[in-house]
Amino acid sequence: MRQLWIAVTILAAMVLLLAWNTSHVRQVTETMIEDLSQAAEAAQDEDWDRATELTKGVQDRWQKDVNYLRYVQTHEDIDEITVLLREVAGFLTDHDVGEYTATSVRIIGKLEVIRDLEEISPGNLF
Amino acid sequence: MIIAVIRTIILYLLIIIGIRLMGKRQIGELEPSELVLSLIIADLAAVPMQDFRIPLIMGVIPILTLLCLSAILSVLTVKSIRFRALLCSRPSVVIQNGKVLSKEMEKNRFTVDELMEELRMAGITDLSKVKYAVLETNGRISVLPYAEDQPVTARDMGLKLKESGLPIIVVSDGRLLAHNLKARRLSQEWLKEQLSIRNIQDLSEVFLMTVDEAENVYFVKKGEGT
Repeated sequence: MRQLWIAVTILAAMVLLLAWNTSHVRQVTETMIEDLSQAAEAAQDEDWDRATELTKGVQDRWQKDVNYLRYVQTHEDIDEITVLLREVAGFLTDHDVGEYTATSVRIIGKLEVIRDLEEISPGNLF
Repeated sequence: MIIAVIRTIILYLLIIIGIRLMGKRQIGELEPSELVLSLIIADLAAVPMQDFRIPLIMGVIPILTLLCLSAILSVLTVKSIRFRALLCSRPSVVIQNGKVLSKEMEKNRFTVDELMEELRMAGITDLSKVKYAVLETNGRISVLPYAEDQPVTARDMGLKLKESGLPIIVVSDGRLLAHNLKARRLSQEWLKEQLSIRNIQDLSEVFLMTVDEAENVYFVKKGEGT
C-alpha cells in the first residue's frame, strides 16, 4: 500500500505542478502578446516612445522568464523568440514600421503557439 | 556534447530506478502491461537523449507518469483478483488429461507449432506423456507430466535425505558480508577457522564463499581455474 500512496502522491504533485506551469506560461505569453500588440499599434501611430516602452517591457519580461521557459518548452522555439525580440528592438530604433510590425506578428504567433500547446484541448490531446 | 553525457546519465538512472520498482522478474516473464511499459520508457528516454532541443523534463515527466501508473496498477492487481484477470488475463489449460484443447488454443491464438516448441523447451517431446499443459499469462507453458513419466524423487523411493538448506554468500570478491554471517549464526572465529583449513591468510584471497544451514561450505579462491 505504501507503494500505491507514493505513486499517487507523485502523480498528484506532478499534475499540480504542471497545472501551475500551464497557468504561468499562459500568463507570461498573454501579457507579452497584449503588450506587443499595443506596441505594434503605437508604432503604426508613430508613437515611438510608447512603442519602445512597451517593447522594452516585453523584453524585460522575457529575460526574467526565459530560463524557466527553457526547462519546459522546446529550446528552438524559445531561442527563436529571443532572436526575434532582439531584431524587433533594432527596427524600433530605425523607426521601421513595416519590419517592426511584421516581426512583432511573428513573435506574437510563436507566443500563441507556446500558450496553446499547454492548453488541455481536444486538438492537443488527439 | 557534455550535455549528451549528463542527459544520458540522468535518464539512465531514472530508467534503472523504474526497472527496480518493477520488481524482480526477467524480461521474458513480464506481464503484457509491464512489457509495454518497458518498451515505451526506452523510447521516451531515447528522444531527449539524442535531441538537445527538447527539454529533459519532456522525457522525465512521461517516464515518471508511466512508472507511477505501473506502481498503481501492480498494487491493484495484487489487491483485486478481478482486476488482475482484466489486466493480465488468466492462465489457460491447453492440454487436459493428455488431450489438446483446440478451443483454448484458438482462443489464445496459440498454434500447435508454438505448443510443440514450448513442450520441447520443457524437455517433452512426446505429447502422450503430458497430463496438463498450462499457458501462463506471460506466454510460457507450464507442463505437468503423468506421474509415471515424472522423474523419480528421493521421497518416491522412501529415502530420507539430509536437508542442506539455502546457501547464502558470506564472502564475495574479498568482502565479508557480516549480516549474512550473522544470519547463519556463525562467528568470525568460525570464519577464520574455515579460512585456515583452506590455507587462506586473508579475505582478499577469497572470490566466493557460501554456507548453508547445515554449515556446508562452498569455497572459491581467487585465481582458481585460470
